[in-house]
Amino acid sequence: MSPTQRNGLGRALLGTTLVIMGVWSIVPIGWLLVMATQPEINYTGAPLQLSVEDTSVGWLKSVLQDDAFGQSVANSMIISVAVTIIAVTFGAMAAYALARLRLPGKNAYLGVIIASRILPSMVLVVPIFLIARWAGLLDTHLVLIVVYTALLLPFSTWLLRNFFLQLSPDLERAARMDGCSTQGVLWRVVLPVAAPGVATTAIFCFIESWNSFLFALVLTRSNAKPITAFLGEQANSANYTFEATVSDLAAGGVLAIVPVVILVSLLHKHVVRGILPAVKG
Amino acid sequence: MARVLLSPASILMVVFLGVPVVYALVLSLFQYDLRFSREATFAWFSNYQELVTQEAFRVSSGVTLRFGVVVIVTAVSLSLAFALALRRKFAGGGIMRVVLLLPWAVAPVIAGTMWKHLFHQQYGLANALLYEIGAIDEYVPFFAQANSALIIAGLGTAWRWIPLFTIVLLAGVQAIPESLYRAARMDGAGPWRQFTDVTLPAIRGLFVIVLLLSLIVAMESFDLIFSMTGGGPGFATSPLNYLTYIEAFERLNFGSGSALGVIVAAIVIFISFAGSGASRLGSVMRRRSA
Repeated sequence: MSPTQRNGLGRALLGTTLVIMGVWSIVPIGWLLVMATQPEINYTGAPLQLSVEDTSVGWLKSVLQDDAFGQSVANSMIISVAVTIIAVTFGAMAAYALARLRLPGKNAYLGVIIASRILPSMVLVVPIFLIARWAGLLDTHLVLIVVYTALLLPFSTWLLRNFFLQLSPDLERAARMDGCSTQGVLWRVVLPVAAPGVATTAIFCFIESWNSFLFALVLTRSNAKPITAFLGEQANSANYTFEATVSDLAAGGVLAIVPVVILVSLLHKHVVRGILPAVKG
Repeated sequence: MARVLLSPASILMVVFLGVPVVYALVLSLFQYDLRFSREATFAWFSNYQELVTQEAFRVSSGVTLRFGVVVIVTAVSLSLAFALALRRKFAGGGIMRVVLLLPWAVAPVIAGTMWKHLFHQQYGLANALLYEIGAIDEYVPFFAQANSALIIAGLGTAWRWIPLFTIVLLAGVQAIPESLYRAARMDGAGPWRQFTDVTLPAIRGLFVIVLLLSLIVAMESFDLIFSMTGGGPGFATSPLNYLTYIEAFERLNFGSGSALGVIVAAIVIFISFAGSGASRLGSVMRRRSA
């Protein structure tokens, strides 16, 4: 398409597509932001009466000061950070074994990993709910941490294995010849060198945990409910309850996406790098 | 040592993935309906038999198909268009990539809220714009009608996943050597012919992957539907995966819910294998005819 882009039609088509892409991507987010910063009357019913003077961060502030909301944000943070650390650690261990070490049944193990990524998680919800209830772990941070980690391990192992395979084995061989143990090679040689890949995996694990919803909905009530489940339930109820106005809920939604939006904006190169091996594998 | 390194991951996956899968299969063979009894009684395949004859199941299957079509058509066409638009470097390209990625950063459950508010019958931007240009006299309740609700749910689902698909196709599109286009141009091919004869064949494999992935995304969609429509009106936006949740946690029928979950899982697994088999068959046949 190269020289044709230099002609008018090609340029116009390109420009139009980019505009569509921008509008398509931003408008849904932007409208929620508008609803979060304007009084309800301005956007309720016809005609639209948005006004710059009425723009206020009041709803954002009041939502942040709400106890339940703040608690759910804290829950999301605790769970996501814990899951990221554990999923990357255990995943790195498994990935290194699969990438570098001899192991009978390695292909079978890899097959299981691929299979678990295909499996829809809905089929696991009832059993995991029953197991958690039997173990008395409903509505705890621990149960979500453990479940999310288990769900993310196939992905994290797969990603990290791909990154490890791209490293030249010479460095590891040199370390071994210096008497380094296998674990030592992993933690002190491979991981530092594969740091970008590890970072990519960590980012993905954090995003997936933060954005996760189904198990949060089913396994938590009031104590460990993350922000996604908190807001999702509000949206699902027929009327907006618990003294929240629509602007409050919109503000909640805006705040809920802030961490991940920031992560993705700053680290988009990592995200892109992670998507490709994750999909083509 | 390999076993030691593998064990933490293995234990977690066996306990929370392996065991639940087996447990789900077993549960699906039991009558376990919390509305009637706290006990589970073995019932062979009665859950499956009852499900298949249920009205809701039939409606939901139709919804699944229609929903899948909306998601696939939207996702594939837009991601291809965006990938083609982004293939060359241009001023502001970096920002456009971040813009492209934004929908993927939004949690699907919040994306459902966003799209719900876009088409809301009181607060909706879509209604406001249509009103401003005079197309409507009063706000339309998009979510009260089955067809519009389904389409919007499909659009929202596709919206959230298009960034991923675009990046996949972009990688494929950027890997096409310029020489192929030059050769095509020397044969007198215009831009459309270049697209159909050079671009499309080169990305055929990735195209199939994106197609399959959007189908799987549609089959597994839940979060967005929960916050956007709650499956309604009626079951108009309840694909099979959503029906599974309703059956298990709103109707509290764990046996039937597990059976539905097994059915959905089987369908998704079948699609994945059939899809990858088909693409492998396609490339084998292409090699034969080359």
